[in-house]
Amino acid sequence: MQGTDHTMESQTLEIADLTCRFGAHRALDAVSLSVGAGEFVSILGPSGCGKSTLLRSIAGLEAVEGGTIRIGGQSVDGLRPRDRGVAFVFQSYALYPHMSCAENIAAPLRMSELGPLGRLPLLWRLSGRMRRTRESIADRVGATARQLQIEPLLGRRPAALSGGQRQRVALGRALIREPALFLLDEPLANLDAALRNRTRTDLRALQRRIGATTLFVTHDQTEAMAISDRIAVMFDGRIHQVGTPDEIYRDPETLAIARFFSQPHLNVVPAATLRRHIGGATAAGDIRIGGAALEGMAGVVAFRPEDASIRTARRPGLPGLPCTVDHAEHAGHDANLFVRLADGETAVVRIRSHEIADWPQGAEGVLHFDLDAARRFDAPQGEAETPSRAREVA
Amino acid sequence: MTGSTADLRARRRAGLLLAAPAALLLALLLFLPSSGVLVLSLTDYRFGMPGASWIGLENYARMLADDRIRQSLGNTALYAAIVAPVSILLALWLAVLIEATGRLGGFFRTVFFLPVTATLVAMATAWEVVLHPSFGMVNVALAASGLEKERFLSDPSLALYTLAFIGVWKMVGYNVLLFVAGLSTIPKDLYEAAAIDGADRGWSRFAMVTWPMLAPVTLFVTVITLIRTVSEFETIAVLTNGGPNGATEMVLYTLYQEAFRYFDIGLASALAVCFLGIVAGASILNIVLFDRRSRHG
Amino acid sequence: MARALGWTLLCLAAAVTLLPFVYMLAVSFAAQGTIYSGALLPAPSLAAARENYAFALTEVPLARFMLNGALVCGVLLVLQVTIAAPAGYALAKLPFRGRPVLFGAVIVALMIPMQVPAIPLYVAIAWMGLLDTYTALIAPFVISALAIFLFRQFFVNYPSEVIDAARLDGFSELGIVWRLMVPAAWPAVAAFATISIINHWNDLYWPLVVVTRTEMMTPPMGLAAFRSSGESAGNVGALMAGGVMITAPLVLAFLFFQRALVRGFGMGARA
Repeated sequence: MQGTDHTMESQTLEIADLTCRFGAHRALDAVSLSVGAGEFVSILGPSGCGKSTLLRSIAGLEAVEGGTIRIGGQSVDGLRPRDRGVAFVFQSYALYPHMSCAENIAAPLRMSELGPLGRLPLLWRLSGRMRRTRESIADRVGATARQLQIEPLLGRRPAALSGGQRQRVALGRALIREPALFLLDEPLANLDAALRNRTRTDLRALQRRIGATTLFVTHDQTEAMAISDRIAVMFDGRIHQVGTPDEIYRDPETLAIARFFSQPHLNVVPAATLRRHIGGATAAGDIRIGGAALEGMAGVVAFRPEDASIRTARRPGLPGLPCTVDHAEHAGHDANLFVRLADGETAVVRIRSHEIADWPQGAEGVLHFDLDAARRFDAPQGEAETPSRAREVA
Repeated sequence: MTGSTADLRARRRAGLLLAAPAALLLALLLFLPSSGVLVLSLTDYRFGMPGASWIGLENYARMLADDRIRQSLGNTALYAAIVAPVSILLALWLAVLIEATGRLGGFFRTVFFLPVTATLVAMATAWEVVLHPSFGMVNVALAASGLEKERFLSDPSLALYTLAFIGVWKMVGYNVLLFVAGLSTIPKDLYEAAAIDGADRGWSRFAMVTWPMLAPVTLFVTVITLIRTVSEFETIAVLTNGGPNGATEMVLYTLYQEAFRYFDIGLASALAVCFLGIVAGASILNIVLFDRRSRHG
Repeated sequence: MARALGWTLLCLAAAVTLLPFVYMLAVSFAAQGTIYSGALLPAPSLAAARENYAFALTEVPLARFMLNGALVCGVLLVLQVTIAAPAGYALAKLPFRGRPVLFGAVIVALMIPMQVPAIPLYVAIAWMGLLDTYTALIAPFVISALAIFLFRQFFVNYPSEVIDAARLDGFSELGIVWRLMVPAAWPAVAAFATISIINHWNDLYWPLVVVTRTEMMTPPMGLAAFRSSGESAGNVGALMAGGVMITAPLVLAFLFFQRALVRGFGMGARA
C-alpha cells in the first residue's frame, strides 16, 4: 500500500496584501500569510469572516482586487484555476452527480491528459496513445481509491453514497491531481459528530503521509486545534493572529480571539472592578495579571471557567471576588456554576459535577482565579470599562 | 395528533365530501366523453342523422386509406420534426447565453416570453402581414436586396415551413424559460469544481456540467414541445385553412374539419383516439424515462 | 469572439421575437395608403390610428369579444378553484376511501388533451340546445386536473400540526380549506390563474366548435372572423388594431406581474 501512495512535491504558499471586495463590503482586507512546505494550516473564524473567500481567491475562483499569491515561489496571479496546481475540496463536495465515483475521481486527469477527442466515447479506442493514457488514468484511480479505502464504491453514483463516503471521493478527486497545494473548505462540516472526529484524524494522517501543503478552512476551534500545525484566526476579513494551537490558546492577542477559543464561556471583568474588590496589592506584593501590575491597569481582565474556583470563605493572602450562586449546568464530569459578582456581572466557574449540591442558588462564596492564566485586553468597542451602560446609551 | 376512531371516521367522510364534486365532474366532463370517443370511433354515427350502427374498426381503416388524412399525419410529423428540435436546441443555446449575460438576462427573458402570453391568433395575423406577398416587410426587404418576392403562405412548397417558423417563434420563449429555470438549479460549486478540474469554459464546461445536469429538464422540455407541436391548430385555422392544397393540413385541424364541418363523427373520433395515443404516449414515456433516471441517479 | 457571437445571436433572436409585435403596432397606427408604400415600417399617424381603432371597436364588436373573453376567463377561474381546492386538500390531507384512485385519475386526466372529449361534449351540448351560450363556453372546463394537481402538491407540504390546531380551534374541514389552505397557497393559485387565463383567453378551438353567433365570440375567434370577413380585406390597419387590443391585456399584465407569472408558469409546467 505504501508503494502506491501519492507523494507530493510540497510547495510553499505566500500571500501578501490580498484584498477582495464584494460591493462595499471588504471580504478580504490586506491579508498576508506564509505557509511552509508540507505545513497544515487552518484558517479559523466565524461565518462571514472571509475565510472561504481567502481559500477561493487562492484557487482563482474569486477575483481579487489587489495583492499577490505565490505558490512554490511562482506568482499565480492571472492564472486560471486549472493551471494553479491546487486541489479544492468543497464543503458540499461538489461531486458530479451523473458520474460514477471512478469517473469523478478521474475527471481532473481526463481534462488535463486527454484531449477533447479522447474524452469522446469509443473514439479513443482507435488510438494507441489514447488507450495507454486511459489505462494509466484507470490505474491511478485504482491506487487513489485503495489509499482512501473506497475501492468498492468506484462503480456507484454519488447519490448512492453516505456523507462520509462522498467526502472521501471528493478527497480522491483532489488527491489524484498530486497538487502543490490542498485547499479544504470546511470538508468535515457536513458529517455527523462521531464521523467528523474520526475523519479529521484520518485526514491529518493522510496529509502527514503525503506531505502536501494544506490550507484548511473551519469555523470550529476544536477541529482547528486538533489537526493544525498552525492556525490563522480571521475576523472581518483580516487575519488577527497566526500561531500554533498552543500559542493561540495560551496567549490570544485580542479579546475576540480569547472568546473564540473559550467556548462556551469566558469570564470578562473590567480591571477597575477587579481592583475595587481585591485591591492592587496583597501582603506578598503587587498583584500581577498575565505579567502586568493590576494597579493602574485599564481595560478588561479575562479568565476561563477552568482557571477559576469557588470557596465558601476568603482565603487570607489570596485575592478573591465575593459572589452569589445563580445556577449550575451539569456537563458530565464537570459542571458550570453561574455566579453573580457584587457588581451584577455574571461569571462562570468550572466545578466537579458532584459538587453541584454544595452550591445551591443564593449561596454566598468567593471566586478565585489563576492570575497567571488570566489575560488583560483592551475593552471591546461599544462596552464601557466601568459599568455605566445607561449613560452610554443616553 | 392521532385522534379517536370517531375523529378519523369524520375526517374520512369530510375527505369524501370535499373530493366528491371534483371526482364527479372529472368523470362526467372528462372520462365519460373520452371513453365516448372510443365508442363513437366504432360507429358510423353522423351528427344530425338518426341512429348509428357498429362498424367495428372500419373508421380506422378509412382513416389510413384516406389520402388527405395520410397527408395530414405526414405534415404533422414533418412539422414536429422541424419545430421540436430547432426550438429546443435554440432555446438551450439562448438560455445558456442569457445565463451568462448577467444583468441584461432579465430583459431577454422577458422578450422571449412575450409570445407565450400573446394571443396566437393575433400574432399569426401579424406574421401574415409581415410576410404579405406584396407589402409585407420581409418581401419589401427581399425586393430591396434584389431577390424575388415569395408567397410564404400560399406557395405549397413554402407554407408548411412558414408555419414551422411561426411555431418555433412561439415555442422558443417557453422553452428558454424552462431551461433558464433548470440552469438556475445547478449548484455553483459544480462549475467551480469543474473549473479546478480543467473544464472552465465553453464546450468542456457545458459537456461536463451543464448538459448532464440539465438532462431531466431537457427530457421534460422535449415531451412538452412534442405535445404542443403535434397539437398545432391556430396558425392553420387562421392563416391557411390547411391549404394550399392540403400542404399545411395537420392532425388537429383535420380532426376539427371532420367532426365539426363534415359531422363525420365516427371518423373524427377515430382520429381523436389516435391523437390521444400520440399525446398520452409521449407523457407516459416522459414518466417512465424520468422514473428510471431518478432511480439510477 | 465567442462572446460577440453570443451577443449577436441573442440580439438577433430578440429582434425576430419582437418583430411581429412591433409590426402589428406600427401598422395599427398607419393610414391605409401608407402600408402599401414599400417602406419597411409604415409611418405612424394619430388620425389614422384613431380611425383604425375606432373601426375595430365599432364596425367589429371587439369590445363585446373582449367582454366575453373576460367573463369566460373570470367565471372559469373562480369555478375551477372552487372545485379543485377542496379536492386538492382532500387528496393531500384527508384519508378517504378511493383516494389513490382519484389521484391516479387526476394524473391520467393531465395527459388527455381537450380535443379528445370535445366531440361527445359537442354532441351533448348540441342535444341540450346549449350551443352559442356562455354555458357551452365554460362548462367543459370547470374541472381542471391541473388545478387539483397543483393544489394537492402544494398542500401536501403544509404542516399537519397547523391543521390539527385549527380543528381544535373549531374550524370545519371546509373552513380549513378556504381560511387556511388557499390563502397559504397563493403561489399555487397565482400559478394556476396565469395558466388558466392564458389558455382560455387565447383558445380558438373550443369557441370555434360551440359558437357561431358573432355576439358570443371570444377575442381570438372574433379576430379570426374579422380577418376572414370581407371587411378586413381592405383594412389591414383595423385588423392590426384589433390584434393589439386583444393581445394587450395579457401582455401588459405579464410585463406588470412578470416575476410572479414566470415563476408560476415554470411551476405549472413542472406539474
